[in-house]
Amino acid sequence: MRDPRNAATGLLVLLPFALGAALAPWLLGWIAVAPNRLLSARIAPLGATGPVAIAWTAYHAALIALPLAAWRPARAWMAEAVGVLAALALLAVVGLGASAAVPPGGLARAAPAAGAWVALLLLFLAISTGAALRGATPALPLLAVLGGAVLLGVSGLLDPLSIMREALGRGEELRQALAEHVILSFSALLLALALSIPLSALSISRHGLEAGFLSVASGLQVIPAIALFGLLIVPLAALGAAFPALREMGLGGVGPAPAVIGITAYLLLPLARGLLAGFRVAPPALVEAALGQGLSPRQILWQLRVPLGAGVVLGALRLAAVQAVGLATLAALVGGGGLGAIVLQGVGQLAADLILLGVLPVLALSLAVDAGIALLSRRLAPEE
Amino acid sequence: MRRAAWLGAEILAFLAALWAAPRAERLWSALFPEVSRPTYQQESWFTLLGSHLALSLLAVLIAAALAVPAGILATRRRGRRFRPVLDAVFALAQSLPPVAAVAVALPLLGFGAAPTLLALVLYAALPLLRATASGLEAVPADALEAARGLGLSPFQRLAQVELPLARPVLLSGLRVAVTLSVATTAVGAIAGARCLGTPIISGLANANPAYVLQGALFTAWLALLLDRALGLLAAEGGSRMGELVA
Repeated sequence: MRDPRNAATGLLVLLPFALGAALAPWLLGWIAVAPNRLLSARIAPLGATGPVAIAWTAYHAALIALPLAAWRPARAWMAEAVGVLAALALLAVVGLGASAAVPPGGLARAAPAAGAWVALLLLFLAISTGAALRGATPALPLLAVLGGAVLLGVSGLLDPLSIMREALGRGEELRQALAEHVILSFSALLLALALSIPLSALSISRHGLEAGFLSVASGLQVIPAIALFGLLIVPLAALGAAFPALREMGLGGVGPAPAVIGITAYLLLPLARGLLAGFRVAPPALVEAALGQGLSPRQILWQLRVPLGAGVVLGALRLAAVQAVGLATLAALVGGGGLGAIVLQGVGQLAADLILLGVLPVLALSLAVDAGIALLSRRLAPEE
Repeated sequence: MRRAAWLGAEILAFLAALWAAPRAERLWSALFPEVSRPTYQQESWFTLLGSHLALSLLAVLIAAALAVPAGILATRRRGRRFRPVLDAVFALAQSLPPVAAVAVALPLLGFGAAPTLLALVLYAALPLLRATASGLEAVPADALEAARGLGLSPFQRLAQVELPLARPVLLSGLRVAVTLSVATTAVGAIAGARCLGTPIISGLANANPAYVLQGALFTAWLALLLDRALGLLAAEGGSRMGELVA
């Protein structure tokens, strides 16, 4: 790919993002300060302290470097790396600026202003675009931003921000919600795999089964998640009432059960499509030859179809896992817990900090799952 | 033709069920003997259906007005280099569930339909954008060559050759957009959007499984009906394409 136009493409495409990220804080503010929790926040000027100036300079230097870093297509990842640095420098400006603007221990609360949020969003888009330019998933660099933000938070740099205060005050709750979220999505994924692997394997040679399986799975896909979860509550409650033993296992009406079953239902279609396509990667002539050599259908499945189709299957697994993490956010509606519970609490109180405190870990989790499976499939199929 | 007739009959059945739901008190109290007020009567089901449809379809219209031109631009020679931006938006939106988008928009726009509409437009625009771009990219090069040979201008080529050939892909994108939109509208009930999801949320908040069941039934039924209607439209478009080719 030594197309000379590629260089100009990277520069041209990333330039608007860098410009926007430079302008947004000027127009819409870096930080907003509220005198206390009830009064509304106003845009506050950045204090002119030494650390703020250093972070400010780093941010603008990174923004200038961002489009230039895309100049050499062979090192296109550099644009993403610079984007990550820019995003972290932005957070440092906001954190340091807030500590200069808000006296510690007071009632005043500082938060990133609209300009900082817009700039952060533009940087996320720039990083994703950098990844798309080289045909890669943006999950890893975006995860680096979120990981870096956590490090900045742990270092205490972001402590004056109200979202950080909220996070520190709810540490235990947050950890538990995160654990529940992981368990919800992982158990739904396992359940969906346990259903779709045998059904797909049997469908390879039975077209009736394949058609039935796919039409049920795609019919389920059409039903809104909130309706499916709701529809599951009633029969599950009846089941729990009829068999107290089941109820003790957690299979009552309200709780994680309707959520896990509902999420599983949505994962069937992406998994079935990927598994069926993956099992068919093996060329029919090869399968014929293996049959001729006396291999059983089971041996053909595990020794031929699975290894050859692993790349396709992992792609589907990645899609399904990301969907599971997203859908688990709705579990809180039916009492299933997870990070959605924090989001819903924030919605109920109209508290932006609380909403973000629930949403950002969901984002981090789905990026982590995405990046993890992408790395796994690169290791399994390095030639692709 | 017969499928269209069945669909019409089902729509009538759906409307009849909406009419009957608040009047079927004996049914609901038989199903939920422990609930003291099992019949949802706060609002008419037709009001909820109307605002659900209005919100979802308005969002799809806005999304189409944004996404189709953007998809066209991204496939022109000058715009092609901006295609990675589309992929980036897609990848980013995929890692954030619609409910999170509704919640994040809530403090900015306040309770009501606005945060839902914002999330709706975003999530409906993505499948339309992707469908427009990939539908236009899939137009065979010789069809374009022939159109150029006939002396058609770029606009005529787009309107008379490319878009008609991309129609099946566009329609399938529309189907996905409508499905997503109907589902996201239902979730919007948590941010105060009035829709068929409202009884579900109110039932969940007040431990009233009867409301949940009624809302969930009608929400699911509406989604299935719309999906089938659009499937029918796509199939009809397909057969018309078949006639043209033959």
